[in-house]
Amino acid sequence: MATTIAVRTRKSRKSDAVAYSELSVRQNNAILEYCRTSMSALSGATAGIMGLTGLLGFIFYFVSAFSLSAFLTVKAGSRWSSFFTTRRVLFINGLFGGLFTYILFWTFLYGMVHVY
Amino acid sequence: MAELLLDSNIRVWVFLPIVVITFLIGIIRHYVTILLSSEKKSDLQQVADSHALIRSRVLRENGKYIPKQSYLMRKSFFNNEERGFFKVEKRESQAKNPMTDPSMMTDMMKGNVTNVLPMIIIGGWINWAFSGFLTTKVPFPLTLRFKPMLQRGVELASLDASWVSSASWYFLNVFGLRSMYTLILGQDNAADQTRAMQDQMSGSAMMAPPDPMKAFKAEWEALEVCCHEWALEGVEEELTGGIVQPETIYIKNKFA
Repeated sequence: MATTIAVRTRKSRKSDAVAYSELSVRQNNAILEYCRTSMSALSGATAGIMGLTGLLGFIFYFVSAFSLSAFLTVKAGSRWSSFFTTRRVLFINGLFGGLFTYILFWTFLYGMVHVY
Repeated sequence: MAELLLDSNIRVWVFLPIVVITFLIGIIRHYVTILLSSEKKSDLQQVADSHALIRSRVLRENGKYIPKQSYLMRKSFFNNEERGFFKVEKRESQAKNPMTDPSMMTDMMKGNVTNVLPMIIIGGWINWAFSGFLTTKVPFPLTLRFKPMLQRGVELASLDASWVSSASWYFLNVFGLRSMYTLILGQDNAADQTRAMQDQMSGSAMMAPPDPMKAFKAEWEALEVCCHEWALEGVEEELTGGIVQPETIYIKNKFA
């Protein structure tokens, strides 16, 4: 009598159920947005005062944006997964929204310092 | 530096004032909107309906954390064929005509006073007071397509496209200071003109309160297709770190 017996030793997990608090996720994203906006404004002012023009200014924006991302990564540390769902959000979030603020401040201070 | 020499008085009396005015107008608008905003009145029935909808949505989202029986009990409260909340409750549509309701009219008036009127008045005033100046130069080269956008009020065919006229500088500020308001006034500020304009475009500012029967129907459908998936399976063992006894799930006698 050959009898097939299947034994399950541990209940199979359906998925790694992680519960996110919607409010906290939004709060964290808002804080990231704040950082981005401040960084864009400050770096725009810097670029304007330094008188960067053309491509150099845009390169400066991306350099400063990525250095901000690096700071954020250091700040979040190895426990980033308890604050954000993906690590990419530290790098991507508000990158192009900040560009507009950057251009405004860049134009403003460039105009103040160098045009006249 | 520049191939065009601008009078430095333009900087002090045109370029800087436009930035300051635009910024301060945004701040004032924020506080005036707070000052004028009235409490939205809603009767008991509306509040009850909206809370039922919220409860149903919460059940759909977080139902996996309660046992199946509890889930089904709640689902049956809403969706039962005979006695379910969404089946039984009947509401008449409350599409009021905004013209006949005086409180709604005042709301609309306030919206116009805080959003449209400053837009017209300040924009017109800036155009009138600071018309025809070249204020600044964007520090990057632009193509000729940007000329009508950046040189409103200054029609010079031979001028380089990266020069910005005063009227266009005002509009650049209106759109560009949005994120600064978020920084200063907080997330849900009323200083943002552009959002108000979008509301005006889509007409959502005038929209009547949504029909509760339609909302019930939609929520009923959403809850009906939602099924329970117990997310805390084996959570006791995980918590206590206990060893799960082997469990026979499948016995098959080949020759029986």
